[in-house]
Amino acid sequence: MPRGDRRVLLFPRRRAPRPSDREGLCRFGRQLEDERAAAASGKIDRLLESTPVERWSELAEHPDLRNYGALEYLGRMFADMLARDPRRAHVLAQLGVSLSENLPAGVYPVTTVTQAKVYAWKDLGTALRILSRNQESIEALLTAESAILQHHHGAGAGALIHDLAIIHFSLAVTYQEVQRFTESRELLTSCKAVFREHEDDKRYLLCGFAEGVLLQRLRNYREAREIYLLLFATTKNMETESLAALHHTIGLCCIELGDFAEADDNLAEAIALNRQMGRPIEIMKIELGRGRLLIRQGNHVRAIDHLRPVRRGFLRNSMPEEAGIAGLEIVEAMLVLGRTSEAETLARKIVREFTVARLSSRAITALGYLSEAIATNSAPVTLVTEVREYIVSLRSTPERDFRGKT
Amino acid sequence: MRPPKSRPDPTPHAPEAFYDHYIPLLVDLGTSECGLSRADAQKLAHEVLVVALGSVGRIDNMRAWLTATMRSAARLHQETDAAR
Repeated sequence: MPRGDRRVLLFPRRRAPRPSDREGLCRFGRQLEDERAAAASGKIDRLLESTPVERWSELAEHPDLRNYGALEYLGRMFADMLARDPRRAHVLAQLGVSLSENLPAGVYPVTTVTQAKVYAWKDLGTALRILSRNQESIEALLTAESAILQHHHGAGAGALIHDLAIIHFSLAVTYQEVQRFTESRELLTSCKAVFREHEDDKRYLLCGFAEGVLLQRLRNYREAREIYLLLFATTKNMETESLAALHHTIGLCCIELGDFAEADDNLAEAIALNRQMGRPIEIMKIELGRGRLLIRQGNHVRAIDHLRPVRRGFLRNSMPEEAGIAGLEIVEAMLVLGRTSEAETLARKIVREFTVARLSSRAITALGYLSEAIATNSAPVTLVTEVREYIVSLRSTPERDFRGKT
Repeated sequence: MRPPKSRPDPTPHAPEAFYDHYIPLLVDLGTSECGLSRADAQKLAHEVLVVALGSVGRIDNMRAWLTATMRSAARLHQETDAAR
């Protein structure tokens, strides 16, 4: 891991309190409780609502925000805001960093000040990743890491090992975005062990999924399946949603490995679990996998019959990208069956759907290339697979260019 | 597997009960399992509880979190000592 791009942080070491007796530690616990109650009282929400986003940075000196409880509360607001409005979440994360770097001296133990900084920088790193500013995301997350490693030698770093694993997980995700797969895998392996030891089932599962997805991207389906199977064996109290997701991904790996019966069993189980939870969209996504299974088994006519209603379902639910992917599976089956004209018509229809939905111009270009190749009878079936996989890859690497191998 | 408990473990919301419940467990773990002196084990146990107080929303299983963190802190403490 590169060490050169870490920033050095300064901590108020000398004046920090050390609640090393029962009374001191309990007083500190009550102080945090008071701060958390005050933060959750609604005054922070009102403060942010009444301040234009472009002036949030000025709140770094606000007395209601300059404490640990308020920083934790901002972290929860950030998590809620991130998916809805990542730019606003980014500004909030920047405010969090300013506040964490300027907590009043002598009020908190050194490790608590470090935790404040660590999570503020982590949120900033997360926001930057969502905004596709991956190098800056890495720098922010390495700053969070260095807060723990450079300023807490020995026992202090040991007490913050769970926090360090949380940072490493986030860093591993960003590394995947920039194709630094080896470093990502190393981090995932180490933080997964920490989460397991701490019985942090939720993060342990997330870590396992991230590791499996990474291996799937590298086409290492066998090892990915082993990782997923291990999650079954080692996770206690797995929620139905996670269980269904595991069956789904195992099913997809089995398709690629040619273990069709196992694939069918896992996909059927995933559908049954999602049916229990009333999640029709997830069921459609699994049915898409079943269509893929039929193609791999050589049942092309059945695959087309199976995938057409799946594709219509995605379109009905305003999911043109998924509909396009289902459509490309159908195109592939049609080409194998020699139904070239139908395949070309469908490919052009998908281009139009992507254009109307203003999806990635790169995806549209690749689809156009495919349509032309089909029209001139120069499209091998593998080109359809390449275009489909390329479109899926744009979700994680939107800047990637299409370079057809065939 | 642990036997079922008659009442739930105290949370950091009640600091005194939290302290009284977990300090003996962590100090005992530090001395008997990790081989620390009693003074070092007490110091580390306090450090671990301070971090736990700052981590409330991130901990699913407090007992597992505390014991795993104590082991990690003890391990690094011993490594640091050995390097001196």
